[in-house]
This record gives sequence, structure tokens and C-alpha cells, in this order.
Amino acid sequence: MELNRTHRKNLAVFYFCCFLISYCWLFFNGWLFSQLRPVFFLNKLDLSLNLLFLTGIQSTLGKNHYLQLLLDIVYIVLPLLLVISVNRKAQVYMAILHSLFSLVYALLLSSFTPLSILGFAGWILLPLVLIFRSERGFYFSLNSMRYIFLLILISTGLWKIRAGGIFNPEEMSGILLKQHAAYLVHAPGDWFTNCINYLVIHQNLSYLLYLMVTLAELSFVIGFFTKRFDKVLMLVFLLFVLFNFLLMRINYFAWIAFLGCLRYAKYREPGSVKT
Amino acid sequence: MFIKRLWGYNKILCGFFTAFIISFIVINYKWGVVATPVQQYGMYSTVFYRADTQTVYMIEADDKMINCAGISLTERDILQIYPEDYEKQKPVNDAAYQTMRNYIKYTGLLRYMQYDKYSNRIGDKIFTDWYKVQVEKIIKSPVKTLKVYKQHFQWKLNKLEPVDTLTKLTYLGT
Repeated sequence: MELNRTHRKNLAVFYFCCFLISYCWLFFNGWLFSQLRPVFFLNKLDLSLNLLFLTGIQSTLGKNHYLQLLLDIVYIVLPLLLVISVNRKAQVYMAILHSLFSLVYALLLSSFTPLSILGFAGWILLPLVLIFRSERGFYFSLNSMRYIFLLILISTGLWKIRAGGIFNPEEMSGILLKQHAAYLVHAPGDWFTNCINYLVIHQNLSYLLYLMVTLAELSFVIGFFTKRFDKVLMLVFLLFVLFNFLLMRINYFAWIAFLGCLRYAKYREPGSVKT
Repeated sequence: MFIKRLWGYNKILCGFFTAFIISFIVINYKWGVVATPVQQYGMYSTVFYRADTQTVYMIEADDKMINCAGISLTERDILQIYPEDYEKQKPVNDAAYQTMRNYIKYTGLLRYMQYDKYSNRIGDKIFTDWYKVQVEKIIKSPVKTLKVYKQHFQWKLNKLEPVDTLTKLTYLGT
């Protein structure tokens, strides 16, 4: 079956649902600018952030509640407009605008809060799948994004080799302590503390988990050679996200939006099937 | 091959795609400065040990210690991470400012990179007031006196043990 307009609409709806869940998570946890009203920022060694800071928006943002509110509203309105405009002329402009705005919003929010910018990568990259109106354009942008997603996953695995984490038997025990130190100190007898303590003490077991995660990340290399295992990769990724949340308490749910690329990449290039 | 077909379809898209892949590989290989936030993923890849010292903040609101295990993840992040971030914001921002000047100069925009824009004009009182509001939101009750302590812990005898005494933060509290 060839990739078509319906697939594009479905992908956009799936993307918006993921975005909405992510936005609700921000809202219900009070992480939006207008809720948190942060008073200082932390700069990072990031060229795009430092170019944005040239405008001086960070100084205004810390003091101006209306600007905070405006950013929060625009942040949810743009993906909504994008999903409405799919398969219409405005789709291309909305995709570019949404991607650029997400970049600005994520840069600012991650410099004013402890939230990692990695959680926003999907909202910066994925709208670019919709920058072409033609079916063939959609096919190529979708597949390009699929490769980028695979590359990101593989690079996380490769980094664990390059930075040396994979060669350290204590790695996962050390990570768990760093991640949960406050919890362990405040609730010494709690069931979650006992679980973490067990893993820290049994470092071979915790290292095995770390090794499995690294292998899972590296396994995404198979996606470069075939699409046959995309369903398996989707399952592996969902387990990765779940594992991260349960054990590390890190929320990577926003990344599930990328699975739309794997889901729809199985369809053929429009015009490639001879009738 | 996908990239060949992509080239056949649209050379500009192919150029962007190839540029992204190459820059991703180069940046990941080089580490250090990031061009954009979507080009580097190395979380928890560096080496961690069980003997690493952990810093924990203790928050006392109206003489009652807040149990950080009994609040949400977000609330814990706010209570635990912000004091540390506030403490390091000046040195971190100053260091980033100096480093990034070397990269911004290639864009021709260095004259717009004034120090004031890259530093927080914030005093301890502003931060304390803000932090107090966060504590009040978390415990859902007004706070008259707020004290924040810092303590270091290390993994010893199968549990996290304090390695020093509680140190009251001088820059945070009422």
C-alpha cells in the first residue's frame, strides 16, 4: 500500500495527541512559565540558546507574566493549528512555525527549569515531517525523520561505550544513587527505597539492566537496513520509556510521538507501484 | 538506497538531511559545545560510582522538615534542584558566556552579546521569596519561617550515610 493523505492526517492526529498529553503533564505539574514564574536562568554551551539570548528575551521573560502566558498559549495553539491545516496549503507554514517556536520555547523552558531539553526534541523535529504537501514529499520527510530517530537512539548507545559507562560494573548502582539520593535519605524504609537499595547492593544485576538498555539502543541500527523489524523496535522503545519511568523516574513519554514515523514508514513511496 | 532516492526527489531536502546527519556525527564525536539541542544525546553515559558523594537538601518549613519522598517527582525536583541551580547560576552563566563568545564571534553578532543579557540580575531575597511560594504550594499551607540545609551522603555499609553535618544555607531562608 502506498503512503497517502489519510496516513498524513492520522500521523498528525497521533502527533497532536502525544503533544497534548505532554502539555497536560507540564500543566498539571505546574511547569508552564505562567505557573512556575521562574526568576533565573542557567545558560548552556548551546549555540542556538546563546543566539536566542542575544535578543534579551530571557531578561524580559523572568519579569513579564503576560509574556510567560503568551508563550504558554502559543505553545499549545500552534500544534492544534498544524493538525487542522494538514493537507491544506497552510500546512507547510504551520509546520515550520511550530517547529521553530517549539525550539524557542524548549530552549527557554529548559534554561529556566530543571527540565531536560531532550524531552522536547519531538516537538522541534517532528513537525518537519509535514513540510511537504505532496505525498512523495511526505514519504521522503517521514523516512528521513525515521532515520534521524534511529540515529539518535544508536548514538545514546554509542555514547555509553565512548564515555566509558558500559565498562564500569558500578555504573547503574552509581546512577541510581545519583538519581534517587533525596528519596533514599528521606524515606529509608520505603518499598521503592528498598528496591533501589537492592539494585545498588547487587551491582551485577543493576549493571545487567544498564547493559540491556545499551544493547536495546544499539539494536536500532537494524532499522538502517530493513523496516521489517520496526514493530519490534517500537516495542523495544516503549519498554525503554517505561523502564526509564519506573526505575529512573525520568519522563520520556513525549518521545513516543516519534513512533509514528516507524508506524507509517512501512508504506510504499507514492507512484512507485506500477498498475 | 534511500539517500539516492531522496537526492532524486529533492536535492535541497537531501542536502538538509545529509547536513543534519553529518553535523550530528561530528558534534557527537567532538562533544563540548552543541549547535542545537536536538543534536546530542549522551545521558548517563559518563562513569558513576557507588562511592560518589551525593548532595541532599533538607527543607524545614515552620520547624517541620518536609519529607521529599512524600511529594511528587516535580515537587521534589523543585525543592532539590533549584537551590543547587541558584548556587551555581552565576559561575555557570559566566563560564558559558566566556566560552560562547568564541563561537558567537563567527556569526558577526558579538557586539550584541552584552554581559548583562547573559547574567541574572537577582538577589537572594528574590530567590527566597520565589522558593517560599513554591514550598507553600507544595505543602498547601502558608509558611512563616523557612530554613534550607544541605548535607552530603555516601554509600557505606549498604545505605546512604551522612558524611558531614547539616549546613544551613545562608542565601536561602527567612
